[in-house]
Amino acid sequence: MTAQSTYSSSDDFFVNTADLSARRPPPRSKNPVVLFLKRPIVLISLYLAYIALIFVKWDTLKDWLVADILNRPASEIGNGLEAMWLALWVALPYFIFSIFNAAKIQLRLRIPFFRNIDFLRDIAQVVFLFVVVAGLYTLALNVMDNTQIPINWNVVSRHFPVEVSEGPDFTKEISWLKDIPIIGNRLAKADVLQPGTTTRALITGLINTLRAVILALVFSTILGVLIGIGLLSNNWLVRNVSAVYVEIFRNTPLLLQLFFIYRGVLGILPTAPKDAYKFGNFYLSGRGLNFPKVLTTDSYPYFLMGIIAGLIVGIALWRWRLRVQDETGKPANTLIWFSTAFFGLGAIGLVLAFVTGGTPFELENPTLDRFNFVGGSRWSAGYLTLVVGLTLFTAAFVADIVRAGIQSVSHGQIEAARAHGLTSNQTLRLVVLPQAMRLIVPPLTNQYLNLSKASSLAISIGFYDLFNVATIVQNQTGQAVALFVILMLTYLVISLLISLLMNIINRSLQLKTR
Amino acid sequence: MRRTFRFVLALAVLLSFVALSHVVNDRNEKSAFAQAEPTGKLAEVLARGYLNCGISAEVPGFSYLNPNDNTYSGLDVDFCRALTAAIFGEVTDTNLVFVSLSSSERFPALQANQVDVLMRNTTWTFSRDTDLKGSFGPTTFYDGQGLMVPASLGVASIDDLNGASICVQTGTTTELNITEAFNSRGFDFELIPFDDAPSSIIALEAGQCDVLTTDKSGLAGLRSGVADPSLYVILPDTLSKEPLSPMYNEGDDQWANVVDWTVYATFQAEEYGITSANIDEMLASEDSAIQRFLGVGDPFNSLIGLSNDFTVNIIRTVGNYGEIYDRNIVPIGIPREGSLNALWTSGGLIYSPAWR
Repeated sequence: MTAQSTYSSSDDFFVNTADLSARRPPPRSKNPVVLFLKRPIVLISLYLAYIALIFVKWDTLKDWLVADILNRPASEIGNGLEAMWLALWVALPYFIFSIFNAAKIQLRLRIPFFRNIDFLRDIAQVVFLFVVVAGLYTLALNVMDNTQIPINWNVVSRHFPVEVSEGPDFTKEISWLKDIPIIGNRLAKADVLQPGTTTRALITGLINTLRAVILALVFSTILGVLIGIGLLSNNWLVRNVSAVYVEIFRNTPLLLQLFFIYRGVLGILPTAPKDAYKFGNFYLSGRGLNFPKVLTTDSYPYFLMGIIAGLIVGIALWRWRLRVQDETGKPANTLIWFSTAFFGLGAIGLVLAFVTGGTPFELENPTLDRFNFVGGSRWSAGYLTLVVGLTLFTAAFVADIVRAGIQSVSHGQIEAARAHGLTSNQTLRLVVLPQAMRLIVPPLTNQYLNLSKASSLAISIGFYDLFNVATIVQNQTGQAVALFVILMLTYLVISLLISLLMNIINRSLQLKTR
Repeated sequence: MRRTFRFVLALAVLLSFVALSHVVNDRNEKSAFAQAEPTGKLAEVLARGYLNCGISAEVPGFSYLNPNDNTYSGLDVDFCRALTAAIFGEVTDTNLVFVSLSSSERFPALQANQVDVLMRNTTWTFSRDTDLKGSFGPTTFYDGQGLMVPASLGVASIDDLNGASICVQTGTTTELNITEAFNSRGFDFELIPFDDAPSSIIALEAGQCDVLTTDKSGLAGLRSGVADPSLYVILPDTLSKEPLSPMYNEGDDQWANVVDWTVYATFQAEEYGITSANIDEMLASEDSAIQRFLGVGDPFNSLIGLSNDFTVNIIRTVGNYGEIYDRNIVPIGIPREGSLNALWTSGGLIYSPAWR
């Protein structure tokens, strides 16, 4: 057999060496050090460490990695050139590694490097890495040189001089911080987490953002699903009202809707607290919703234990009933069993609490002061507007996604289900929705991401969300670059978390084929 | 042959020295005051052909875009015009670009060189001068932070405001001062931050806050813009010093001189009694101080890197400080008499360094 025949089996000019390697495995090294170094995770870690070293120590390294080689003083080297050299040093090990691999393949399998598709892919990666690093680093250097924007990351440990009138008070100590195991003591002593620092103000802003986003996510999903089903309703009125809703909210800017709610809807409510609409101890005015605050008392743990026990027993019963249904075909009635256990045990906990120490909850009612209500809980006008605005806007998109998902289920499925004698409710629940969900979840993820990012429009309606607080910091300190990097990273993490969650849900809904 | 060559060479050298000294003499004779070469920002603006001037466009009296005829007016706008006239000789349709900035956009815009100068009722503070790497020109308006409340609340001073909701413009010194003022009194309060002046006055009108706080001049301007100004009162309390000044990036001394002396020129012109109406008579004045100020005779004014008559151009375009004040600030209801903004000769703080 000639060397030619090893790769002539393929008609393609380019050869995927992985197939050939599988047929003719390379000789394995016995040396444990070599084996350890060959593991991908080790190689990647070493490479990342090398890149980190280059970036962190670049100021000193560039003298002999660039200036000495070019034989020019470092001050005379332009930004673009410096960035290209940095990118060169970053990409170089990868380049050498890929050449080394290609050479090995060429020697062992007699495949020339220009026909080795793995090598060509590696080179493309190297070029990509070079361009990205050089481009980004040129931009970074230009920001530092050509504008007069100072960059100081320590700005986050400064005292934050402005009141944040929403969310947890950032000027108070976090009492539970030192109770965290292992790192608690260190966290409690950290400069940036001391009361009144900029970091604490940003955290308060983040909590405000999350408060609004989570609530809006839940409400927009519920509303969106209802309207989405309404779009397919047989009832003319329901169908057309839903369609009008979707078209109006989907086709006008969110900012406009927020202004409309803030100034138009809340603006026509009485604003003076004494004129507020009163529903029991709930007061709705143009300044927000004041409602009783639920305080827990000493006997509250009994009630809590009852609830937890109810939850555990309820879930156990739920699973037991599902098994019974699988084995015998009797109806599961899971919800009835679950709620009996949950509410029963919860009631027992409540009774226990009353017997031992009186009521487990106390309500603190808002009372009218000269300008505002004091005591109780409060959802400010900004918060209400943001939650309602985000909900209404996103629900329109969710509705259309749900409609599309449901319509994607073939009509034959529905007819078959009806032919089996399922009610229309059962058809929807057992046949249509499980199949529709697979198509609904991916676009839904996009809407959730949009929602979380659109929450930064809160600045226009006077709500202290993360973006607003960061803007204040940026204004008072001038640290625009530092703050915007922090902001971008935070929103990125929020988005990634939502994506992760939705991907988990998506995976659990996929068809399990074997 | 060789000798002849040497002789000719020596003669040539001698002649060239004479010629050179002549050229040098010639130059010195031409101008007793050498015009400074424009460098840095000034050269950049001249080459670009227009000035980017950062304003707010939302505060009546300071910088306001009139929605009826799309023209800018106000004290800050007039100083933008004055600076343009000083640099280019006159204000045309193309050599002055107003960049409207919210209070939170202004510093990044300046730092990123999107505007050459901020004439945007910006308070001169220590941290902005140091931390933000900015520099401030002479104060064009001495202000103080005030509080505006609906008259129906019956509030007499800040001490009646425990528990109030306060509308504030974010990114300003006012949100720092109000936090300090209420915390030091131990008051509960709620801040509602807005990015611009119109949003905050609308919120006050809608009753979403009890108090609107900003500079007193800004309050007067906003109050003059509501349907019925008598419904709102500005409390007598003054919470802070707010010297409003032009701001530019630090590290360019020539540009700093240009901005500073443009402002001083309006002060000095008022002190000399030069107005946009009598400037032509004044150009014929016998007074040597006025001659020097207006660039008559020696090209003394060109030391700054501008044309010798830049002061004349400023006064022709916007008039002196008194004219600018009367045109913009008096209509919003802030009299000049007896205030810090009177000329120093009338007991105020408007004072130009010596023009010599």
